[in-house]
Amino acid sequence: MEQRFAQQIKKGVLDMIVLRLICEEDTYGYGLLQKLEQRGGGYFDLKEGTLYPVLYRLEDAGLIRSAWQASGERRAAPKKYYSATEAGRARYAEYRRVWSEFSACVERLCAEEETGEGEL
Amino acid sequence: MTEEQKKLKRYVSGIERSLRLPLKTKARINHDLATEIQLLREQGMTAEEIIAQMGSPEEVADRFNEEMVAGASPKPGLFLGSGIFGFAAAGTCLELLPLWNPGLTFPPAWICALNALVLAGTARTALRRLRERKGIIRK
Repeated sequence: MEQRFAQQIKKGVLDMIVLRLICEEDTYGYGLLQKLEQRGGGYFDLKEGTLYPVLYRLEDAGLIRSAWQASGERRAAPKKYYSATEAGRARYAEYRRVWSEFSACVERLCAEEETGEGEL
Repeated sequence: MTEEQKKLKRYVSGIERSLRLPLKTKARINHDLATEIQLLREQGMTAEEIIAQMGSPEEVADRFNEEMVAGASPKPGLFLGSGIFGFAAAGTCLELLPLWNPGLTFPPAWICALNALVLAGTARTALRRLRERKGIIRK
């Protein structure tokens, strides 16, 4: 039950989180998986089949773009780096605003319920 | 090609076979997974470790199928195409009515030819889209 609830929330915010990490710094697919695992508090330990469709969706919508870049190391294969477009940065700001309002509203509603102030 | 490389190639092919997506999308996924596997190999992981981390070919493919089919929107031309096909099919039935009712006359040949062309064209497009969706043919 708890896991399903977390999955539903994760699905809703995944585009925003991935966009945020790409706005922060140009990165490649596996790099994103690692960052999400390190910084996601266990909620964002994604597999390739979940992350790449998000990247394809963002890229097809013009919010990020990809380019192949050779690694500095010798004999290392080039990586596909993703970077945020102007539209992507604007969309992230919009997502962030909506999320702040939404989470504040949820917090308010739950606080009302816990203190018995509101009628739910 | 080493045994490790062969094993990983079979692994990626196995994922591709289990994908129920258009060929263009399959190629995109194949390319990205192959790049990631190459990166993991450069980091010193063995084929077994990579496969254990990513999951079985069916598991990987199922996740892609679930995410990408659920997020796909129907093509806007689908309803228009169905409508044209319906009109052409109805037209063909009307054209053939004189076969059963001798009192009626056949329409001019050019109308029959045009109708047959539209019918064949829309049917061909519908079949092609169906096969593309199942990943059978190239776009």
